[in-house]
This record gives sequence, C-alpha cells and structure tokens, in this order.
Amino acid sequence: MPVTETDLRAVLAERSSVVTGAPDTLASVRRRIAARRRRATVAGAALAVAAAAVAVPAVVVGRGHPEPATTATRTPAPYESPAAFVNGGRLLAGGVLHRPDQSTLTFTFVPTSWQLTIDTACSDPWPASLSEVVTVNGHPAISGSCGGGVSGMFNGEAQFWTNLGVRLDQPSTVTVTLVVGQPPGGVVSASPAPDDGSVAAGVYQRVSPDEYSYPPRPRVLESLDPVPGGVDARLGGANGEGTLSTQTRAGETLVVTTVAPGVVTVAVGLWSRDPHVTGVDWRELDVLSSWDYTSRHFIVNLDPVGLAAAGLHAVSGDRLSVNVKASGFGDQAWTAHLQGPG
Amino acid sequence: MAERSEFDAFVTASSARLLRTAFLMTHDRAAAEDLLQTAYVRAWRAWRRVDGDPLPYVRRILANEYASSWRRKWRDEVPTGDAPDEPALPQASVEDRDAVWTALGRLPRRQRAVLVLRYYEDLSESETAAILGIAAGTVKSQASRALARLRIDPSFDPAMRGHRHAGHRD
Repeated sequence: MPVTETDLRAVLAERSSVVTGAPDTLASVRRRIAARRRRATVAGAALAVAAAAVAVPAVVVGRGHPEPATTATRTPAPYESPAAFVNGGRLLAGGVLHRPDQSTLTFTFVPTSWQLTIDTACSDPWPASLSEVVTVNGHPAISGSCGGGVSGMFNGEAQFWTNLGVRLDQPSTVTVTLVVGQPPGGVVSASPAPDDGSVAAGVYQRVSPDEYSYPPRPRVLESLDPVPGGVDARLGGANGEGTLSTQTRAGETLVVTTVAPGVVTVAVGLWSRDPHVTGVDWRELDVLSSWDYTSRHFIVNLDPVGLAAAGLHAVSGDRLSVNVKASGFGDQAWTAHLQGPG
Repeated sequence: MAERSEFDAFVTASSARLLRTAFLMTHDRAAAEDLLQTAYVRAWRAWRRVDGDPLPYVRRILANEYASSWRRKWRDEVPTGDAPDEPALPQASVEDRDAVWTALGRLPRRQRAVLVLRYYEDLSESETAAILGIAAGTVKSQASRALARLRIDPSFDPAMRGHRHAGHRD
C-alpha cells in the first residue's frame, strides 16, 4: 500500500491523541530522583564507614522506606503484602517477591470489569541494575526500572487486556520477573537478585469512592503552590465549579493540581467561528481522580489535537470555554490553571 | 530551590507533549511513561548545565534513550523484503491507518525515532540529525528507507489483517 508523508503525519497525530493526560509524571520523577539520592547517600556512607573502620567485617545497610508523600497507600518496605488499595482500585490478587531467594513472582486474578491496573512497588533503595518484566498469561504487559513503581493503566479499555488473554470472570496469571539491565519487553533471562529487598505486585480493580479505603489525612496538606510560568487564569478552592476562557493553540494546557482525594471533571466548549452562531459545543474532556494526599499535577491538552480526541474539530485560535467541576474534596485542595506554550 | 521550581515547572509544562512523542516511539503507554521519566531524571542531573530552552535537550535524551539503549529489540525486526523503487501514490484510505501504525511498530527503533521526530515533532532533517547524533544525510536516507519499508509491510496484506495486533508490543 502506498504510504505518503501526509498519511504518516495523520496517523502519528491520530495515535498521539489517545495520550490525553500525564498524571503523576512529576511525582514519579521526584520519586526516582529521591531514590537515586538515597542510593548515593547509602553508598557514600558505606564507603566512609569502610574507610574509617577497616576492622569492621561488613557494613550493614538498613532497608530504606518509600517516600512517605508518594506512597501513602502502600505498605512500608520491606513489603509483606501488596497494598489493599491503590489509586482507586482494590486488590484482586497479588503477592510479594523477596530477594535474593526469588526472582519471579506468579499469581492469578479473576477480573469482573475492565477497570484494571497492575501496580508494583519496590523496596527502597533498589539496585539500579535490576529491572522488572511483568507478563500476563505469558504476554509482555509492562516493563521498566523498579523503585519508582510502574504506572497503572486504569483506562478501562478492554482491548489492552484482551490482547493479554484476559477474560472477564476467568482466571489470568501474572508473572513478575526481575532481570538485569533495561528490558526491551521481549525475551529476557531471569537473574538472581544480588541483595535483599522486596517487590509487592498486585492487580487492582476500580471501586466506587464509597468502597475505597483512603489513607489517613495528614494534619497539614501539601502546599498548592502554583506552577510557575505562563499562568493565564486559575480556579481553585473547595468543591464547586468554574469556567475559564482561552483559545486553542499548540501547547495550550490546563494544569490541575490536587493535594487530597477528590474528582475534577474537565469539559470544554468550542465556540463557533461564525459570529452569528452563539451556541457552544460542550464535550467532557477528562475526569481526573486523586485518591490520596500526594501532590499531583494533571495535564489536560487543549490544543487542536487534544480536542480532537473529544470529537471537537478546532483549529488554532478558536475560542474555548473550559469548565472545571470539583467534587469529593473536603478541603481547599485543588487548583486548575491555564498554561500557554512555554 | 529556584532550580527545583524551574525543573518542576518544566516537567509539568512539557510532560504531556513529550509523553506523546514517547508513546509514538514505544507504542506502549507504560513504556512511554517509563522512558519519559528516565529522560527527566537524567535531565535533572545535568540541569545546571542546561542553557536556554531545556526542551530540545530532554527530547534528545528521550530519543537516544529509546533508539540506542534497547538494541536487543532490533533482533526482533520482521523482515519485509527489499524496498520498492516506485514513488508513493497519494491518499491512503482511513481504514489503512491502523495498518500504518502496526507497520510503524515493526520498524527498527532508530528509523521509528527518525519518523516521529520528522513527521510528528515536525523537526527539520538537521534538527533531527542533531538530536540523534547522526548526519543530516543519514536522517534523509533513514526516513526514506523507513517509508519504503512501511509500504511493503505485511500489515497491508489482507491475509494478515486479522493478526495485526499480535506480537508488536515493545
């Protein structure tokens, strides 16, 4: 089949539009940076002790603990069991892999809906050389470095799971394998882990807010400091809703920050280019959920490609109304602001 | 603290865009998030040395991390035969877009990175070359070969259509 540059541009734009949000990127990056710092600190301390006391036969390095701010619903390391609730989901099945005796963990789950995610949590510090590969029914599902956790996939898309051989009300098998190096997601050889630590893994199924077990509220919530740079307009407060006005253009985004459990629904209204038409075409663009007291930034794309994902056909410069509705927040625990291209 | 704030602001402002780029390269949302986070962590280590707009710098880390660090994947390429010489005809049908996406997933990583940078990020040949650390002429030839390979990919064989989703996850 002939494939032109135009076709390719169209396919790339179309496929990229399914990536409609990037929740937790900043929190995940912070976790990884913190984990690296701790590893460096522990290594440095071990070297210092070894140099100062050569008569000491071994340096015992205690197991670290996860970042309290970002693992509120996880069990402390070393893990004895997977967390009962993660990111709006209740544990269906899971297990814990203990190093160095084990490099593989296998468990079976039976889903009753497609609102599923796989979550893994690795004790800290974690050897940078060790990665994890997660398969479902023998099919590669997710892979990558450990220590920062692996992002969940609560997208509710059946196809992702059916491609992995998952069927509702039938058992499926998850296997978590530790490997040396960066796995490509293909065939890798399992490697015995070099030291202690643990990996907790589980499959979680979304439950309603009433069924969810929230972590205890901290006495003081994290700061809702604005993200610096290019803030054009903002909303915030406790529950309620408000509307911002802007124009769609490349790089136009809505940044929603939450520091407590709650739900923020974002809808956009596209104004007609015809001045004689006053109606606004409203579409729900995203529903953003926070399930703990971690500071989270959600990014909603308001460029023409992002709007196309909601079925709105806009061009750069078109006038937009952005409606933000917050619910479930007991405090002034969220903000939403528009941010133009950097 | 100012550096940290600047970095946080940059991550917040750029992550949606770069996640899309990473997704187009990896074809997998979780892998894309992992790739993007890795790029940011590496960027943070050199943050003090980044002058001006950090976006090209992080994009370079991301593309090279993808194109070069998982070389083992290259062994999994699906042979597609020799590239045809005939020029492409315009206007692929909408129904074939899924096949194009699948075929894209079969390309070698560096060729896929070249296509994403050229035709999604809309970078010039010289900009793409600078990011990947290769000559502009190589970008041109890689893009040309990649497009040629797409045209003869088995995904466009009607007999293969029922199987196009199998076995292409990174």
